Amino acid sequence: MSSSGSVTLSSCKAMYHLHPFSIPRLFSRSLALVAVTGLLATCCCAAEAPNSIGETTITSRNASADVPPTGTVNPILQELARASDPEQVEQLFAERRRVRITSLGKPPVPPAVEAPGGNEIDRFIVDRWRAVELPESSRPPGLCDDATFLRRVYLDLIGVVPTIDEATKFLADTTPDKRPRLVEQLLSRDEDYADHWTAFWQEAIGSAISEEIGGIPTRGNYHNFLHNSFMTNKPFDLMVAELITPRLLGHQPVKMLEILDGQQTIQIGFVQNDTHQRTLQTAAVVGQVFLGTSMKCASCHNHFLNDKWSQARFLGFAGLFAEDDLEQIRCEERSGKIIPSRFAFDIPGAPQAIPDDPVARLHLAAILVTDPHNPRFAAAIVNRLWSRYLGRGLYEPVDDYRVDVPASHPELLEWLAHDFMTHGFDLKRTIRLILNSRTFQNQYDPQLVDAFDASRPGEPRYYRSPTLRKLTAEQLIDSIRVVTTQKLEAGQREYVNRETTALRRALGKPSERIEISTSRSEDVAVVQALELINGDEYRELVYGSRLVIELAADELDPQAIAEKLFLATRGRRPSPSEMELATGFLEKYSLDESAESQFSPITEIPLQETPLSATDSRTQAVGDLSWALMTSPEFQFIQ
Amino acid sequence: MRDQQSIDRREFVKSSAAIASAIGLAPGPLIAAESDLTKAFIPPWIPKADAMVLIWLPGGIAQTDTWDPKQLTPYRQGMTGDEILGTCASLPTTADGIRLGEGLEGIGSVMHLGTILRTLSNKTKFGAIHHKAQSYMMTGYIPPVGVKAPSIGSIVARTLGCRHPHIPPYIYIGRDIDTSDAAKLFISEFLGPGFYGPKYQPFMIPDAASGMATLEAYSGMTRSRLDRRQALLQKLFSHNSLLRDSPKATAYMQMLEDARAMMDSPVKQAFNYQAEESQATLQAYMPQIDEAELADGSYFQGKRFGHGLLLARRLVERGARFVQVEYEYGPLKGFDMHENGCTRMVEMKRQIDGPISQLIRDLDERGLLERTIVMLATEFGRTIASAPAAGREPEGFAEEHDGSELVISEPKMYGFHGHFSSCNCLLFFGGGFKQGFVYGKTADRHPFVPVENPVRLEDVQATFYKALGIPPDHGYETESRPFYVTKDGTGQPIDALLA
Repeated sequence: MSSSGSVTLSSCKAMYHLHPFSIPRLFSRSLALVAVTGLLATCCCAAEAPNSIGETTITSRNASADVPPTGTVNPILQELARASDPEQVEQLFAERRRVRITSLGKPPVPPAVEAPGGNEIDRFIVDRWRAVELPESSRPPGLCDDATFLRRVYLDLIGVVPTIDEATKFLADTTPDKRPRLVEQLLSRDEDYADHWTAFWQEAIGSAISEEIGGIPTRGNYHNFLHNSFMTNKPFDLMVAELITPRLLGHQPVKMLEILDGQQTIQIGFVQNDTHQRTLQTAAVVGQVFLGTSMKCASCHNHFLNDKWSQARFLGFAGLFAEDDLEQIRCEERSGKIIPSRFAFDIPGAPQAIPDDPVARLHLAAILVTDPHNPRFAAAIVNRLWSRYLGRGLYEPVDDYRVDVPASHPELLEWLAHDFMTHGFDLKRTIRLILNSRTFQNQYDPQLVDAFDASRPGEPRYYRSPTLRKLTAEQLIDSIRVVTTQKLEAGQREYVNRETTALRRALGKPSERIEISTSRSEDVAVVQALELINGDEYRELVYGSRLVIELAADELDPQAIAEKLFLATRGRRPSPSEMELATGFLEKYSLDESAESQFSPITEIPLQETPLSATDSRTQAVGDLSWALMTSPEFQFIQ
Repeated sequence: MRDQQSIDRREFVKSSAAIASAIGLAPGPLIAAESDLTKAFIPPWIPKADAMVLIWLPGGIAQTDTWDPKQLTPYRQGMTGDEILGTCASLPTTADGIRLGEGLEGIGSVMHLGTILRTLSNKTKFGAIHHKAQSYMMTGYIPPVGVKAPSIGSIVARTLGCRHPHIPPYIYIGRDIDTSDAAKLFISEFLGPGFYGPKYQPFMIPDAASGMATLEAYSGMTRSRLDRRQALLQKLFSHNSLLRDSPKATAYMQMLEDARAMMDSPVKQAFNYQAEESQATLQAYMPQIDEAELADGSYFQGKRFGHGLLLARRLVERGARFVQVEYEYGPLKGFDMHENGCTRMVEMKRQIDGPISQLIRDLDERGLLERTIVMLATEFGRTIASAPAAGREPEGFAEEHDGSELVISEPKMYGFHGHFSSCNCLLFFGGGFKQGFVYGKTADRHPFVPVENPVRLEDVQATFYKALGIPPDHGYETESRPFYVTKDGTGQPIDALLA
């Protein structure tokens, strides 16, 4: 997903004029020559910083009148910092959460509309259809068939397609609750579930393979941390807090690494605050990934896309991650002005005093980021889940929730966030809710799919059809392995493979994770297509597979082969016309001994010039059919 | 030539418009990207160049032995570092008043066609860190950036698109692809498309001699079988009534068709150089030194590099937009010299001088140089080391020291072994750059800092982008904010470099 349009300064201006606030004189080119030392190392204004815009803060939507008074540090927090046993930490964290949740306002009530076959989520969705009188309010969009559902939830929950056995069993199941049971089953495959999530989060938090490369520090390797967190379905707020605060047991300590024969020391850790620039980057990452709030623009001048983000507000927030309050440096010019640290959002009843001790500051940062009264934290993650499974967030972009671009369904977002918090920040619970909704189970329909266009952010979204989603490199490679070996081997997943190859690069798997990323481009390119057509690695995956060889070797008739291949690749049996097509192909080419005299390059068989035997031409034909099935959009996308 | 160009461009626009209009209905941010492609970038002025070859020589080339020669100061045991001004003599070139280091006679013979920029100077001092400086040179941003910054090739590919509809807009020659080595993984990131995504990824050709594997069907796969396999895929696709109408799926299918078409396209002929080029030409692109003659025979990329340049020429002839050719970087190898710099430099010059000058001559003779920029770059210059363990100097050391503390006690210490971020040379040929021209002047004594016209990297980038018709503040959106082709959009073209 690349939210990327071509912009020049002038078109930029035009674009921002669409926003309801005024644009300060920041496009002046007169002061273009600024010093070279970077802050975030990228400044987006391309010119002089504007004058300070009035500071506005966002207050918690959930704030109710009876919040406890601010000021004193919650005793639970102090205990939390001293806890020495993981269970105790979790208990204390839960206790703190419970206390804080009691003062939350009431969540929106799901509208009183009928949403047959669905849950609360659908009532919000259908209510909107009614309000704008969409035909779907009386004639709901089609329900996706079992095979499509099966494939969706497998790929979404464990990152691979089902095996033939799994598919056959599910298709044969006639009980009415087989869909929710399947969701449950997959959610309880802890290892596979954790594998699939870890691939995403490693990139989102910049978990890297190596600690430094030529003196450039990474954030360290969080593979085990993430994997364990998802294996145990750790409460999401605790997981994030552990990432930030050294006072929690699960925290992976920041490492000071001496490089270049001890001449330089660099900081390896999720929180990097050894330089002004790295502190700002850390704060911006937390903002983007956990608060769904893009702050990078405000790192060296007032955010000019979002007047809610003055530079001072960002620096105040970033100061929580620093050893001390930060100096204001505007577009690389030092001001000498120190900005007092302050959390970016008003959180009623939260501690306000900023400790001097750097560890205590991080502890406070973690507590504030994950506080139930923080209006962004829970909303950001439930929106991420929504976007992950429906293809489009309730607010967009998912990394940049802005007050001037309201969510498509603000009440649903709030309801989901509230439900998530009151159930212990339990990711599986919210995932279950979404996947069991009728909305998730709508059939894909290109005519009904929602769009998001950055230049028209206010366009409504109705979720009448999910978005077609391209498999990630990991989903694709792992799925092909499942198709061809009929098993999923934990520990053999593509995301742990650190090697970069032509195929992996072409599929968009990043080689290293020095920079964080929460989304990948779904673009296809000729480079990629060539890898699928002619690449050795892809050939090896498809043709060198056990399945192809066995199917060709067994005395199966073409119908049986086609049925197996369809079940393996699509989780369903072929339609009559597909059956005709597939068997026609197999019959024509597996008996065609005269066909090509060259040998099929199946790896198991030595490559030499021998006449093509009947078995060989069968292998070729079965291989070619498998290739076509796995290379087709139905396999390469989640429909 | 111009007419042909514009036809190709129109064709490209047409074909990409077809895809994009298919995608036009697609949901999501894809729209923004694709509709921009449909619009097709129109340069705000008339570009002087249509294509670019970037000859990338990482390792940090000692500018004083090559593009900015100083006085020869022969080895003498016990001499101090500040006495070493040059380890080779300088020689006149075909350009009036321009001298190059000895061993560059070939490039000297085409110097009247090119420009030397002698004063690229960075405020950031990279100290010992090659990768950081290389990444900076390739993207214009110092890592970590906070955003995945795209490389020059991806920027050109995205902005200008294909020149010939079947030749990928960014081709990279001379670097191995498959690796799990952390440093190499990082390199492949900064040579890549960054946040632009896989669409603007380079076509990697590790070795010209082995061609581009994926343009050929694998052994045993005949054309007819390949086509019937693809036809089967097409038929299967047409059975899915919902996907059939999906713009994303259609675009994917179109890409497979395009890839198949590329297998029969002129890009493939380009690889057939061994058969099509004369012996004399093949010879001219070979290094003038043999592997066996090297002091360190374990590292010899000269042949691969030379043939890479020949392939680059053939690709440009057929309509490539941007081709990068690397003398593959290896820590402490090639131009990364930390001892025996004097002798290693002689060997390196004998590997690159012939092929580079032949490329310039060939392009010129074919009338292609006028509209093709050839740029030579390395990540930083070199100076005298602070200590025998060269390359470990703290940041900024080289700018404040003249090497007088260093006693050259043995021949292997004689050479430019220190990293120098304050001065770096770049060469430009063709594509609207001045001919027989030098820009910038450096001190004749240590430290060899710029004394006239120091320039910033973003301004250099703005200059070649200007020649290509790309404004320095052209940008693309990521994370809801603009990200420009030169650092923060602030690059200012150096008009003095352009004819």
